[in-house]
Amino acid sequence: MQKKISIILIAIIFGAMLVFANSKGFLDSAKSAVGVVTAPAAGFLTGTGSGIVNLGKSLLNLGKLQEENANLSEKNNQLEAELALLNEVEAENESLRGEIDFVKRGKFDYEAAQVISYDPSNLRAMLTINSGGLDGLKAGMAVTSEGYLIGRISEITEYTAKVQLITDPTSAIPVSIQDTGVNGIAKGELGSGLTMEKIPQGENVVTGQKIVTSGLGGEIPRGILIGEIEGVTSQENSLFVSAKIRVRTGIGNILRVLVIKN
Amino acid sequence: MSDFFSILIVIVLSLLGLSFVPSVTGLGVAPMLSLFFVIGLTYFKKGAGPILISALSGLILDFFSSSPFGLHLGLFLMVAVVIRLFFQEGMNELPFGHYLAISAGALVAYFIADSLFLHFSGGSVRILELLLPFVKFAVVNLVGCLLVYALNVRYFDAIKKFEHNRR
Repeated sequence: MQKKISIILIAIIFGAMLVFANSKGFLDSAKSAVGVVTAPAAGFLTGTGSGIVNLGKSLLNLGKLQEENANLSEKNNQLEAELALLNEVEAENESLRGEIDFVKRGKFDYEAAQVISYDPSNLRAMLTINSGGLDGLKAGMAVTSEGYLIGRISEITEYTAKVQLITDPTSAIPVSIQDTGVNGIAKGELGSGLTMEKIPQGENVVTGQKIVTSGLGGEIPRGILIGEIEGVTSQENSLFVSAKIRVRTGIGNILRVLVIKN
Repeated sequence: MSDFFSILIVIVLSLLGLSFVPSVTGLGVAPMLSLFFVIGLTYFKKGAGPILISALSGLILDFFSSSPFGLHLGLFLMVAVVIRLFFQEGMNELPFGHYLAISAGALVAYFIADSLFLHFSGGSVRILELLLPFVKFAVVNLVGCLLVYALNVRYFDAIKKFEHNRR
């Protein structure tokens, strides 16, 4: 019995020491080492898993149809993103017309990365990617896929980074409705949902309007497409309305991402 | 020697659970395969080895998790300690009922702790909204639990044979 108690005490002390060491940052190099060692294998497994799924789908859908569908879907996503960007540029030109100091929109500098693992927590929407501090990434940077904003970097080691998806229940991104410029906050929900909140009553909010980043707060550049409104909820005594946002399809199963570095 | 293989299995199961399974199922659930393995291991093997392997297993998940550091480590250590305290160690066979009950208890405890952490870190958590994620979590983990049980039984048989031959 005494032996059992001593083992348990050692286990508790050991665990407490590790949690303390992590809070002081002593485990940062260990985390980097884990990233270096596991990233290739995890990336391979994620790719293999996704490949198996795609293979199965292709077989079920007679191959060609599936491929065509994937290509069209990707093209559609890209075109929608381009259209959103063009609309944003047009709106910006409109607002800047007449002003003397014209601020030119900067081009984005991207870093491509592969998803290597998903969060063990069932309630969070997080990914780990195989690029980190040594690739010039920093916490807060925007992460996109096929032109859509999918999240931002929340934690970083030298070789890996954790991406908090926009659908994570603790995520809040400043956004605006593209054609009206109305600002709000896009908040993640349990089960991969996304809602735009803090929209003032009386604003023109209808299904199908595009939602883009507003650039407020300075972390995420303005004008990146997030999704479109698929429903509006309004309460009589409330100052604000909220709108359900339809995000890019398959946001939780993305394999490759682009991080905006500037 | 068997500790080395156990560590290897823990690493492989952790990576499978974190990367391969979620991408295959498309449900966004990463099953805790390594937890089920260390539950069996703590039953089967005597000494401090299984507790240390449990800690390692929890640490690996903590490195990849956005939950507070130590949640997985704490859970894995707690499970190992509970088995050590209440059950006979070094058992010849892995009783399926005990294995399933401890796995289910650990999963429910983990889900509640994770929900609380999410609530206190500012996430909007409503009880009814937790229902669907919990069902997905329970189904994927139940399948994982049964598969790892089969692996455990075979692995422990192999260890027994190896040790018998060595004698």
